[in-house]
Amino acid sequence: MSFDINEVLKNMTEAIRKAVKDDVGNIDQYASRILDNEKDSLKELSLAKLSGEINDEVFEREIEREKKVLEAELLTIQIMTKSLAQKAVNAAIDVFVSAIKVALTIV
Amino acid sequence: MRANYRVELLYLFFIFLILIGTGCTVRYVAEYDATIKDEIVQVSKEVDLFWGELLDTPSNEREYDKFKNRYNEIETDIRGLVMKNEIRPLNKESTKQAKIVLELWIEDKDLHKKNNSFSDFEAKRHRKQFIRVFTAMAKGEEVKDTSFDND
Repeated sequence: MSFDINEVLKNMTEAIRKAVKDDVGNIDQYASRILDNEKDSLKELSLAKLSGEINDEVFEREIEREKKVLEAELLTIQIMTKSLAQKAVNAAIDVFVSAIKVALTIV
Repeated sequence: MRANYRVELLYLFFIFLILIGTGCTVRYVAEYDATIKDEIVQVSKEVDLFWGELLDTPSNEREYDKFKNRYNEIETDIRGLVMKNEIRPLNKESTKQAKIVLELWIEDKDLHKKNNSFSDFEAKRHRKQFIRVFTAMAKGEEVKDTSFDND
């Protein structure tokens, strides 16, 4: 039975790296977009408050809404992260199972 | 003792065979659903149209009664989106997002009812907020589609 655990682990690591390499960049990009959205929104709100366009009640209401909107956006980052973990684990397990299958056929 | 050790090895071997035979994959997020993604886009368009029509209405003519049917129709569609997300396993993030949309919508309906009008500032702002949330929802759904791509 030919089964080199070190070689298999090396291949599993490589599989994880390949599986997630694009996703890490995507998450980063999306996080930047969320921050840009937030920056624009808070800038607009602060200008409106400081200029007197809106009163305290509206300002506080908008702050509460902003929290919910930001939460919704950040939940997508959570989904992206879980999806990335899913891909990584499955890629690694696939490599391991393939190695076992090969080792068993050689027996 | 030796016999027990052999039995344990045999069990491990059978477990390996089962794992190899069934294909062991893990899942941390719900399966992608194209119909839900389409529905997110559809409801998003309805909401955006609502705000567009409200903003096109002179501010002194924005009585709640003129918009209440649309509020209720859209609320029903948003509740449908909440339910469809809630019944899917491993889907708590998307469900929470749908519930946030519902909260924001009901807030707007109640505010409009209370003031019997809606300011340009808040209408424009809330229109953009809904776009942000629906975009986040659609992106979250889209990501589930690639979750089993292993190059």
